[in-house]
Amino acid sequence: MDDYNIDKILSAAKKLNVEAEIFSNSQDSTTLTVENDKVTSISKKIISGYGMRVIVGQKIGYAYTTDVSQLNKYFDYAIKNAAYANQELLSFPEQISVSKPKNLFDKNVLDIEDDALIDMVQEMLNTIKNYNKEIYLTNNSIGLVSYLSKIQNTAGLKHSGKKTVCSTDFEISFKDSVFYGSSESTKLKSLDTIDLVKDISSKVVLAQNKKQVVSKLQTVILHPSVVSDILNNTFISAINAENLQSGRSYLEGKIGQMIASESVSIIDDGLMSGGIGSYAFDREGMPRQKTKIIEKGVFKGFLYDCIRGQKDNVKSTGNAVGDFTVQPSINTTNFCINSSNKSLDKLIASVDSGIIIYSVMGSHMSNSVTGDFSLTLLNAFIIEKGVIRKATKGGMYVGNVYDVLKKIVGTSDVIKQVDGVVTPYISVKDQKIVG
Amino acid sequence: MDENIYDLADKAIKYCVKLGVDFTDFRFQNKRTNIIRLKDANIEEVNSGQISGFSVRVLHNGFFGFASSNNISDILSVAENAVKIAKSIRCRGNVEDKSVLSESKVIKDTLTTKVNIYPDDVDIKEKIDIIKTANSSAKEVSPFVRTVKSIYSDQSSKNIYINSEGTSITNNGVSVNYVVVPIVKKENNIQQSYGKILSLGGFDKLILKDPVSVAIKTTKIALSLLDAELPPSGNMTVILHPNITGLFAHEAVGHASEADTVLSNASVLKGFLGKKIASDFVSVIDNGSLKNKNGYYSYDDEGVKSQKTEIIKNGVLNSYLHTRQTASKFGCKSTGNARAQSFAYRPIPRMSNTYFDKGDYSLDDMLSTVKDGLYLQGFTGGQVSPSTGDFTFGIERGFIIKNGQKTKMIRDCSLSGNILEVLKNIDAVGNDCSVDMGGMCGKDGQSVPVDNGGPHLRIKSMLVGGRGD
Repeated sequence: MDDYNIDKILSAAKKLNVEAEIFSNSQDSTTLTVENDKVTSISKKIISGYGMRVIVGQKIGYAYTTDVSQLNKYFDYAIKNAAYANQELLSFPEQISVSKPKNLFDKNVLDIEDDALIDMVQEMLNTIKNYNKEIYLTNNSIGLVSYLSKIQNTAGLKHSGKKTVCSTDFEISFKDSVFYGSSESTKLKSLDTIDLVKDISSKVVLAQNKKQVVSKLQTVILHPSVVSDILNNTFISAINAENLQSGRSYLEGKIGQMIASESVSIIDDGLMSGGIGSYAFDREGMPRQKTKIIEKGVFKGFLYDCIRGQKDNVKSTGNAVGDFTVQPSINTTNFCINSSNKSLDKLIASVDSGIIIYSVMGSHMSNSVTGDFSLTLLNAFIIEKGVIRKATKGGMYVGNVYDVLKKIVGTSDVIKQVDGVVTPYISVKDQKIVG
Repeated sequence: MDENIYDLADKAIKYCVKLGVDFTDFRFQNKRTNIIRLKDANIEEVNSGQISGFSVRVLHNGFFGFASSNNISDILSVAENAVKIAKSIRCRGNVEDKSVLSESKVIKDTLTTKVNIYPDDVDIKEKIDIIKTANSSAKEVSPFVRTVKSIYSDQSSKNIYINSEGTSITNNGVSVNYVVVPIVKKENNIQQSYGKILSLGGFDKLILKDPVSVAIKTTKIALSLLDAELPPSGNMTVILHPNITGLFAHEAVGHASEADTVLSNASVLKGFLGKKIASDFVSVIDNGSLKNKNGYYSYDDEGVKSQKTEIIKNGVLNSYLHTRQTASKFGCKSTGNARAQSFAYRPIPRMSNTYFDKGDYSLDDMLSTVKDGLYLQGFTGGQVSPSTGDFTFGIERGFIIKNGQKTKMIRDCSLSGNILEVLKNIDAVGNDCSVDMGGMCGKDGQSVPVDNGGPHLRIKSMLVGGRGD
């Protein structure tokens, strides 16, 4: 990315007595698609751009472009836009030292040849077919992305960093059963595609025997992807200071109150080694940090960026996010739920009558304000006397995230990171399953 | 600049042909966007931006390669990358997996959205005043209105499609959108609703659709949710408002009829072509040529003219939705459904404007014979697993039906069902029809604008997931 042009814009800003911040981001990605056991496409994408935020008399203006020859023109737009905005920020942050999280970059992600990627899929297919020839990899996508970000402002702040993200999502079918799996990691090796397809292959075969669910309150064990689905669409919206200030946070006025079972602690860890959401600095150049959200059941606080922090007279928690096309907004980094030393098998064995849920549909339709959700079961098994029995046929899981938090009775020792949530399996009592 | 783009495209296409490809196409996009975000009377953001870039897709010995960049000077290396990818896939592929493209007319066309007032010609202050008035009108509806958030945006884009068969299409588009989210609070109960105006056209189109009335109407809906009850759970008769009928057409029927899911064995509708899957009075249509609808386009992202496709005709599965590639596998012509989110994505089969055709019943007739059931009006979204046919809809609001009458208002529940079962359970189709749901549809990491709708529908039994007793 072009330091020369950025420096030129920032010095022009200083001459105009305008505070300016330039965030540049470049993304190099490869996506491979498999349909019905065959690699059907590989797409490569390179995109880079510049987002410019200015403060003119404490008012903020914003503009962006992907075209370096248009930088000056869009910088002028940013200044023009500031004349209309009421959003205020006293100044951009000054240079502050940041600590770099470990294991965020894997050179292999950039270097891997298309042939090696196809080999990876072939190995997955061999594993599946060795398990059972009648299992198909109906859909699979493997995404490899390399990010390079820079932020620089007129207050002297300057940071740059890079990260790689590898992900895979797939759907495996066996006769009339379908099972879903996914994995994400900052390193190609840690994607663990082979162990994952082995595990999902065994589950799709097991899912052949189905039973209608019975409507009743029961214990549910939630797979990390279901925990992530629920939290991302409910609770995580409530801890965002922007939503607090808009009057749509359920947690308004609840700092210091018990909102979860005493065994629950959650931190937002922007510095986690190998965390998908980790980075040395946030979208405003503030250092990423660890922020306590829930400690032993007690709600500790909200997530902030600079603008919302200034409004509530608190420091930014380093949670500003966003690409170059948008002004920074608040989101989680790695949302980590505490685990236990209990194996998943023991967690299952402790359930007399319940359901283990691996995937659901409809979480994005949850009520982010009230925390109510109503999910269709996609992959779930009935647990009877501590043993996994038949797969569920149909059925819904209806609940509220704040009720879930209070009724957590156990967690596993296995942890997965799914869409920014780092969580064990979670066992919750008295949940409503509808058949 | 534009002339330069055409020359570069020509150069890239000739270069690919020299590298031995059977077919190549080039897509260029330059999109300018202005966004104004308000919270009550406070202007939180004024943002202007521009994104441009291009992609090259090649078909080489029966296999595709695709690459994109936003640096037009990289065009030859991007083209070379696309060819390299196609060769890599071909080396591992089987002869029977080879693709060809179904035949398509060579088109030379330039399209420009009809606009009376260009958004760029309107002062930012005027744009702000309009949404500010809408926000304050919404705030005045009730003391329970806590905050009103709104977003105004306008886009001007130039899209160029050129392929090695001689097709060349330039499309200059303009659109203006408005979204409003009123948040209301009574004691500890917080509710919100979501209203929008999506217009293909100029600033005049937005004014015509009256943001003030949309903001007030949406606020009244949010207020009504404060007193709504949580519905019961279980299997029951439901009547769907045209908005939710649209969601049904889209999630349940549309996705499973996209031909790529059928080809990858991931659609419950595979093998049902020509077979009866619903009652005679059920027809479902996808029509990208419906002007003024959110899913409208003249040509798809392979340069094929948009068209009306009857997915289900009088209860029989009549057609899947095709790109030129999927059409060739089925021995038919493309239905003009190849769509991509932007230059950076490859085109795949997608819906456009999808809806149920109208029937004979009035809403009163439908209601009159329901002893116990739900009338469902607003939605929060939907999702489907095309492989199994299981789908779910999020319902924002509706009414409990008792002895043919709408009674208590309800909020926050989900509907769940299986495509093949629910299609058979439709027992009445309304004589009204509106295609006005407007929104974005996500698939394979790509989001495209769509519209959905239809008449009121009655389904004799569906699983409702509600939090009430």
